[in-house]
Amino acid sequence: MELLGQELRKIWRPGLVACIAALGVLYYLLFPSFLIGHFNNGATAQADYDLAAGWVARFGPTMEPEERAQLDAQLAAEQEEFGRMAAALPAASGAGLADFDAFEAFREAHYAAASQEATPQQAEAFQAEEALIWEVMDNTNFFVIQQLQSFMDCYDSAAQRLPAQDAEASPYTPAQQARIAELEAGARGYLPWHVRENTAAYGSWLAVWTVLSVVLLLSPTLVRDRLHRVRPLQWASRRGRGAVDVQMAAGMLSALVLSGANLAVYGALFASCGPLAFAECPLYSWVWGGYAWFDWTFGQYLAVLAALLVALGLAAGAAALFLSRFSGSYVAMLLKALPLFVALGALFGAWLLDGPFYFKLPYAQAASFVPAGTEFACAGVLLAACVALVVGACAVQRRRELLA
Amino acid sequence: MRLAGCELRKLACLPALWAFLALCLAFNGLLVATSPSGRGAFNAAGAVTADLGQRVDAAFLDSLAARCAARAQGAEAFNAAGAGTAVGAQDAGTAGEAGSAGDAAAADAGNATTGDAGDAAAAGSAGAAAAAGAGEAGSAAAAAPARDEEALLAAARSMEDLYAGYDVEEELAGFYAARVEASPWAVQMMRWKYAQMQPRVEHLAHVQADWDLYAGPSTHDAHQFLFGTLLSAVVGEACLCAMLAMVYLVGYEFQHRTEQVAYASRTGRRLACGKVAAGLLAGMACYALLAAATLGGFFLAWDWPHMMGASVSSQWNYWVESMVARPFLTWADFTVGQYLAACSALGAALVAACGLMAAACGMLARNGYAAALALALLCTGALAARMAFASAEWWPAYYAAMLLPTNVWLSAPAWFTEGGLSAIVPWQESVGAGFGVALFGLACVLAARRFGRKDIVSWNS
Repeated sequence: MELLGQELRKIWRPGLVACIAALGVLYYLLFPSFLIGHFNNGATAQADYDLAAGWVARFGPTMEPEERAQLDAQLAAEQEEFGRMAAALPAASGAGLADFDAFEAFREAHYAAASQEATPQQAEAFQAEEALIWEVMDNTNFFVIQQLQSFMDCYDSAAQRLPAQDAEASPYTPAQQARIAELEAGARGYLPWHVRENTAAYGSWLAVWTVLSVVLLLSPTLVRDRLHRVRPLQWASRRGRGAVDVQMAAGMLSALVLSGANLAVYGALFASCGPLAFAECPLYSWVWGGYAWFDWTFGQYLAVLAALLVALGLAAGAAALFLSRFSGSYVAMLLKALPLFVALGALFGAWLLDGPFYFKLPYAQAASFVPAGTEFACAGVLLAACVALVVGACAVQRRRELLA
Repeated sequence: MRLAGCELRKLACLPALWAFLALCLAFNGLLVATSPSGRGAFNAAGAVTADLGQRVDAAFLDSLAARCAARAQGAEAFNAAGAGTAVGAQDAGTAGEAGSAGDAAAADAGNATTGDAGDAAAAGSAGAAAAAGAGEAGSAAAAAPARDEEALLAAARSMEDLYAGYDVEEELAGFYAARVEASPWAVQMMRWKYAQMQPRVEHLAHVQADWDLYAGPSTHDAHQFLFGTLLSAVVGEACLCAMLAMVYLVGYEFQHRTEQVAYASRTGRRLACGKVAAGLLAGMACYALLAAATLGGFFLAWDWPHMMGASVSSQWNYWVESMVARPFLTWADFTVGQYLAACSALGAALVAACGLMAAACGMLARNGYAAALALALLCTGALAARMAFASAEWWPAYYAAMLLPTNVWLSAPAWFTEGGLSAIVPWQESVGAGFGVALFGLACVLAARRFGRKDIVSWNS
């Protein structure tokens, strides 16, 4: 344990940790900060979120037909509220737009006239109308009504969805068709589409950073010993060649801790946006779509993503340790670390955490979706391979006759 | 020079560097393999402009129309001949079958000649069927360039004057001045920049640069892929190689504990200058290797050699920034070949700036890994600074940050153009590259002087 502690102190050097933390701040500001700052990006996404969060509290994670019937009353109430809010706007009440139906008719007529040729006076009048419309939309619950109507239409369309008739003409495989039929006949979840998309994008960015931070932390580990020529000292010590086992264990433990720390920080930021309100919602949104392979809730899905991320971090750490073992200088290690980061982080990691366990393509021009559990298999194989490399390196080290 | 040669030998003995270069070339090959669709149309345009020239005028249109008509006539004749061949093959096949039936009867009678004739007829039938199949494939292959040329003819006929009457003030200056209105200085500079661009537009209209075909409708995607993706990737990889090579060389004596031998030599601490020179040479060599191999491979697949005489300001070339599409307005007249040469030269300047930045970091940090982390922080910090200043609308600081090498590299798709929001002065990317070389060259000199003034050089200092 004492040796483990000393090896950990060698890995977690204050200057290195400070540099990685600084890079982490810059990375966050450059890439995922937009997703946090604009999680509900725009009035329509905000309305979707507010409506869905309200329904979770009122109806639970699914919406049955009898609960859908209650939305009609909600819509009427929202339209009444619109009337009260619009009446409080002098420009709207002066133009007779203190009623939702009147406002909708006015808006449709305005945009229908937009495609026609206009004189300068007409263009000026058009701009004035446009400003009025936006003033009303921004200062009332217009977008809530709009998204509520959209949701009700989608729900009703989904309820009338017929099963696919021609299996041979379907673009889906038989397994996918069976899964689709199962989902469409199952729980009527309503996880908002943008929550799913933002989770996927955020997961991708976090995966890239996790790989980068772990690789930066562990790359100099064994190179430093080689440069300081302490390996003969280690091999000749009481611990002997077993010291390298402790070094690898310390490295893997550090990868685990750093991955966990990244997950904690990014997870706290993510949670601050409120997606955990949908933790009990089914992963498959019966209303908005997004076929998923497994019957998980959104909360369970987030837990699985966290596990995948930790596995990715451990794999990156093991690979960095293995390459560090065979590098004679820091620059030689960096020349290996850069391609490792590109392959494991920017390419594989970003793909792995980008909406896993949904019907997704292996690459952009692919013709079919990946089978169920592909992400588990890929992460498992990668982790096993990287750990096998580390174990193998330790075994080879033990069997060497002389330290050359 | 001998010193630089010794230093270069140290780099050459670093296997990881060669492996990294190979991986870079493999990555670039992957980029080329996934290049945008439209290669057929691009190469068809290359074939046309090789024969007819780039300038689209009445003679060009007539020649292209005649070429398309000739292709169409040739295709009809080919198809007619192919139909005759198919009928002939069918007849031969029937004869072959009859021959085979006769062969079976003759075999009973032990007549070898009839059997041979039956075999020959069957072979002839098979060969005719193969020829008919090949003819169909050849017809399809010939149809694709014909379709491309017809599409090119239609596109050429749709061309109109672009630069005559193009008002940069109305189209672009007002838009960007409004974007930077938080800073009166930036507004003034932005309007001044576009005031300098207006005479260029008038000149382009005068020389009718917009009437060059370039590659027709496939121009934008192909141009952006070559200059915005591929060349950008090559420059980025070369900068990485230059920085790592420099850090390796500068930290070599420290790493191998040979400082007290090396700096006690006749050259002494002037060895650092040789290392920096070798590092810069190595960076340039990596850049040349990556550019030659990558672009060479790309030019084999895409018919760029026939495009080198086209004006990059053709009306088919444009770029999009701040969701505004605008013509490719450059500060000087560039053909594609000249533009490629200019971009390559600017890339070389960026590689030099990055190498000098690495030299300064290496001489200050001594530890190679610390130097690499410092470089990573500098490059990322430049990008973050740019974004932060833009968000905060601190436009003078934003344009200062745009002069840093990272931000110059990121603006590669629009080098030597008016630059949109990213540029405040003409030739800003050139100014930035020069600024980078000067700034980091000065940093390098100061770091070398600091190193030269140290009393003792040891493992611990």
